[in-house]
Amino acid sequence: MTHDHEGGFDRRQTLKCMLWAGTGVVWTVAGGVPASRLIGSAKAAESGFSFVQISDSHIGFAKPANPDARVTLNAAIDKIAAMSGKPAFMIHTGDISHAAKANEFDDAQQMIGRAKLDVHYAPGEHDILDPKTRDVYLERFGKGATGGGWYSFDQGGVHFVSLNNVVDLKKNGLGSLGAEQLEWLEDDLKAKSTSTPIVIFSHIPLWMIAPEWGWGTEDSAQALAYLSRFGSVTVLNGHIHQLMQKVEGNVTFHTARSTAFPQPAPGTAPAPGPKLVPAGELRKWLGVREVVYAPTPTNLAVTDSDLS
Amino acid sequence: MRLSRLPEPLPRDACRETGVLSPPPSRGRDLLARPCARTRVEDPHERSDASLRRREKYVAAVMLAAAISAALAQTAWAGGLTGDASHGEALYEACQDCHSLDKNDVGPRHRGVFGRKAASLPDYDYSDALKSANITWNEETLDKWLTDPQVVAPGAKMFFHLDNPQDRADVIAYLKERAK
Repeated sequence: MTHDHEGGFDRRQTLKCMLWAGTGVVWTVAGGVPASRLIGSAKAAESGFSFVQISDSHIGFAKPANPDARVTLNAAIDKIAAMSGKPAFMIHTGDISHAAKANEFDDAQQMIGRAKLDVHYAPGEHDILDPKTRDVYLERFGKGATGGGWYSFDQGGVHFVSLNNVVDLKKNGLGSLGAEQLEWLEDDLKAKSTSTPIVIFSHIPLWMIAPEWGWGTEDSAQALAYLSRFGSVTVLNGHIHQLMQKVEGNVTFHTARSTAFPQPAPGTAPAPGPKLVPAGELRKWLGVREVVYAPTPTNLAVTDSDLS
Repeated sequence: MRLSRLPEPLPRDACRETGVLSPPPSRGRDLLARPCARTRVEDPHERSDASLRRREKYVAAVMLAAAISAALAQTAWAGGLTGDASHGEALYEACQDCHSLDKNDVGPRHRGVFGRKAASLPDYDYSDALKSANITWNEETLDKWLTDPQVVAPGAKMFFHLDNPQDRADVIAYLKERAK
């Protein structure tokens, strides 16, 4: 049996809140537990590492809700580049481009490249519109990934999995993973011990936030079933352009803000889509907001192992 | 702006109570514009009561037919609602996740979409589903499309929908009136 206890908190610390500044969030992994902190203000974990998540940059979008999404992505990259503790890498949880055009991807990669970090992408439905753009996306971003664009990697004892849930959209635009990807996920996780912290990231949320708006993944329950044996699972998504969190068993779910434009909260508008905010307030909606982060030691992760 | 409605005629009872009668139906247009004259015409050769009642019934029938015809011309789609183009323009903000009026985006440009045959822009890559749907965009087809595009053309690229019929009517009015 292993029982991890480090720094006064149990391994199964949960993310109570997140701290955002500008348009990105930093994830710190200490003792196997991902936690977030304010970009530009916090130091990297002493015994761990940190990574950055950005999402929904929608490069190519130039409409009233944001006349130029490049400007706000650049603002996010400036924040990341100015961090005192260098993150290990960056993840982008999809909708890199707005209309899956080559010049949009080119611009996005050029801007994101200024951060000088390895970047791990998950596609959004704006990046893969049809079979043609799927092939183009995989050609550009799918190196090292499986045929469908999903992949995993390990960093600092944490197992990261990038999923693609935007190819076969279901009712109202719900995401789906599909049998092939689920089978791959089950196989990918088999070799991992239950004490391995898992971070899953994909574009569309893996929990049902608003199925009437397509804000969920139809077959995510199967994926979560494969993850249920792990003591620490963190799910990071984009798509809805706003912060939401949920804790369910050993799994914590987080959605990220966009770097381009906000969307309405479920139930507050007739439909999802770009939300027009007063002039001069856009960046506030994109994340110039402070939220207090506090670990909660109430959820203990007890991991059993056999005597072999 | 709401689509215009025909002016409401004075109630028939009101005409009777005031003793004001409609003029002879010389032109249908006058009937609609002046459903009930405001001044009584003194006529030394006033017609009989029976003649007046027949004329009054005739006027009412013509006005009713005209009103029904005009209403059908304005709202002849399944929802039967009159759209508010101004509110539709505000709602169109959400459509801009994928559409613009003048530029192809994730979806095709919208200017001139009302009355256009679906999947007919030569410079947009439509889904096979919409190409084979054989639709012309009018109030009825747009209402169905905005209710659930995947029912109209399963496999289409669009999933966006508006559940409220009035919202759909408003967006349709916007596309019809202001995206010409």
